[in-house]
Amino acid sequence: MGTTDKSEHAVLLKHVYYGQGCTNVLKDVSLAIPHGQWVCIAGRNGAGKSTLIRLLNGLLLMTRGRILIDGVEQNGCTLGEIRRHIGMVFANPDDQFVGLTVEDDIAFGLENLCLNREEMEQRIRLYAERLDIVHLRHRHPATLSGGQKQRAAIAAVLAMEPAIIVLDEAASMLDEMAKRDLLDLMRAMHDEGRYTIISVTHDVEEMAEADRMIVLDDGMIAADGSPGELLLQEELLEHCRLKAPFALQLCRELKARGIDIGELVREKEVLEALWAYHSKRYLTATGTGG
Amino acid sequence: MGISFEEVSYCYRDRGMTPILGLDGFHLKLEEGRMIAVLGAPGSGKSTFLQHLNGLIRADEGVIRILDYRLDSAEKGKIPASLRQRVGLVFQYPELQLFEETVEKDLLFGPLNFGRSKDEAAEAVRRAASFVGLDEELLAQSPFKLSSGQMRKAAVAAVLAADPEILALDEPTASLDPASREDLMQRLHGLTRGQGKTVLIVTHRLEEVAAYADEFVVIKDGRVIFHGTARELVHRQEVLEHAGLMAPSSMRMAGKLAAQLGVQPAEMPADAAALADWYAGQLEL
Amino acid sequence: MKRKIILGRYMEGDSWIHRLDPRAKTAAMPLFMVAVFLVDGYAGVLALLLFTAVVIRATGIPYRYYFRAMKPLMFLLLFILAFHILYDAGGGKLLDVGAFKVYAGGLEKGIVSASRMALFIMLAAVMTFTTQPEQLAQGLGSLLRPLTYIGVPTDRLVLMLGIALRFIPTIFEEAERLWKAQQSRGLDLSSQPLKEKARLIIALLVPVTTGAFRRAIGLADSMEARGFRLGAPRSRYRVHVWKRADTLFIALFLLPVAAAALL
Repeated sequence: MGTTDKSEHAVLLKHVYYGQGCTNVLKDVSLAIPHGQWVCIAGRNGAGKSTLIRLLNGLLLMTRGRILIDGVEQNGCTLGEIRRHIGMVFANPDDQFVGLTVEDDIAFGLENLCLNREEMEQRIRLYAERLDIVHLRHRHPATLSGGQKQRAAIAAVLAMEPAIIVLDEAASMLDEMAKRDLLDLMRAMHDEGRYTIISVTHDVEEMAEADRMIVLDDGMIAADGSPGELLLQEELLEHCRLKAPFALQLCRELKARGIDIGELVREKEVLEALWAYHSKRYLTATGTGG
Repeated sequence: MGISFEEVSYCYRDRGMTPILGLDGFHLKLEEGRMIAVLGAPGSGKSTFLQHLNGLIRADEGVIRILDYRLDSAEKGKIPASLRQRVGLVFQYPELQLFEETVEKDLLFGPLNFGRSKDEAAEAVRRAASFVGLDEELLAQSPFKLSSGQMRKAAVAAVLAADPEILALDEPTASLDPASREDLMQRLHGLTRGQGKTVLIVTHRLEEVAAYADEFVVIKDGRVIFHGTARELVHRQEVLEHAGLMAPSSMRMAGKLAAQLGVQPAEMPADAAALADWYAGQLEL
Repeated sequence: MKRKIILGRYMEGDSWIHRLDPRAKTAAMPLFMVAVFLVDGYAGVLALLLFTAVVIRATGIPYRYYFRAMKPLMFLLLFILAFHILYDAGGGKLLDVGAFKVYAGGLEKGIVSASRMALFIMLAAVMTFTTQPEQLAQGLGSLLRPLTYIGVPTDRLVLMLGIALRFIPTIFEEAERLWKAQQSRGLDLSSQPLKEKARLIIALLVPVTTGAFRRAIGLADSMEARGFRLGAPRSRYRVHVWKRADTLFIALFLLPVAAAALL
């Protein structure tokens, strides 16, 4: 719809403020997120994380500053268009389920897009298949597990084909298995390359997977960098009430025992590094032996 | 004494055409004074089990013995109030169940219901609040003005204030941040170690109870499929998989590293340090 | 706060009544009501009961569920029956024990009135047992559609009804959990004086209400984020196709009306 000239940034915030009464919840936040990036937003409760992402699609309206989504300036007239660019998944799997069946819930957003019935059917089929919930199409939310509901919610959002996916602690009410599934799903979406992912989270394993980590504190950006660097800063973690990812804890413990593979934050990287370490040792050992 | 469930079955009959199985020949014996982790995927029946503990749900079949009470499925008399006092239940998202005007009133609710005098109750409330780490000045506030973390503490304290001998909690750490989770687990652990209480924690996160619990019970489809120590559980990791549970990071990494080295996996390493010890040891060989 | 009420719940099934167009089912209801109010005597009631039994049979849901649906209203039925027996003095005298007299006319009126109520409940149960709530809401919406021309926002009403149907069970569940939590903290309403009882019930409604509000806000966020705007044009996913079975179903319900009118 409309013009297709793409802006360089999926999300651009310039000196954004948001306040209630005389207290500012967000203060002078400037931020640029390029297309296709996976950004996680961390910070302790009340730091302004949820507020920040709700400003993006105008669920909350900023008091000052500029927000551009895909090059579109956010104002009263463009909210409808902007919401078509941003899909949002919330924490509570129950409260975002509008329809009385999975199918109807996916249809809800498509009805708002005024799609015709054939196109709706086609998209429902496509995204139900992609998220592996075809067998749940006619089920009532009360008969679904939290993880299944969250998958349905994501299908409903993806079916609207937004370029930016925002997740507001989407895994926080799920069990561990479902959490792991969701993370796999996010990884797959990221690899596909067509989505910009912005995820508010308390889960350090999830942070470790992201391209970029933004730490909010008291309504301001306290840190912005790669998770591989920021997760090493113990003070920062402690301030956000987080614990270092297990992979990193292991690296540090190993280092203390003379096995130095550096400081890595992803389990996969640690396994690879240890494999390399182990092979090298093995080779040198057999080399000197022979 | 203790807790014993003998072939207990329970069906939810009022939720549509087909009855939903809650417990199915549930068999379990637990001793007092220990911390027990009850693990199970959503829908496994762990919450149903919990509600049997103080008679909120009455079994269709089987016999339940708790402390010196006997709940027989055949005779469904009134549940004595003293059972509810001695077995405290913390439901999921307990902060949503606070309802009085002030935190203090809410905490007093239990002890007063159970017939404590005003002074005794006030003392019990202070003790419970300080035990969970709730500032005394918050007691005068409305529970709805607290932060979510404080509300959770208040809700746990509200049950503790009745001074139960057995405390059972349903997913007590859900949606808390990692630091608060650990803090709560440590305090609950203190209840068994310091005060000799029995603590049952129903959870799907083996990760956070692994370091604290003395015993582990795994539930699937309303039945107990494992009951034993952490050490025994490591050797039966397939149990976790079968029950739809995630192994803790340490356990998963241990498995993968063992495969890499081509050796048998370690006993459940409690944390990164233990795993590093084991790995370093393996390289020495 | 217990969920013992079965009337109004959907029971999964695959009978031809389940598959009917919800509009046909919603339209059958007023027809049936007309028939119910036209009957006036044992014969008519018996015929309607038979008719209903056949319809119930066709739903494939056991009769006992319909009896359970009626159970909470049993008291009301008995009251209607007793009322007529005691105060209606038409026809011949059947029984005369002191001040207690039963007349044939009163008995008949009592039985007919109570049966009317029962018939109505049973058919309402047929509707809700076999139709997904949302479908029911949409069926109603379609029937009300003509009202749009006189300015009634039927689409919005249907959406609201759908959302209410969607969230009422969740809020009930939350209320039930709250109730259980207080029970396990020793709450025993029966032992409390009336004033304290009232205070407690009102206090307990606070978290239930805040919970409902919290959900409403969450839902509003989710709806808005998915591009919903009040009054904005929307397309419709659920399009009902009227089949011959639906026409037949309506015709079936014209039968008792015609019979009742003629008798």
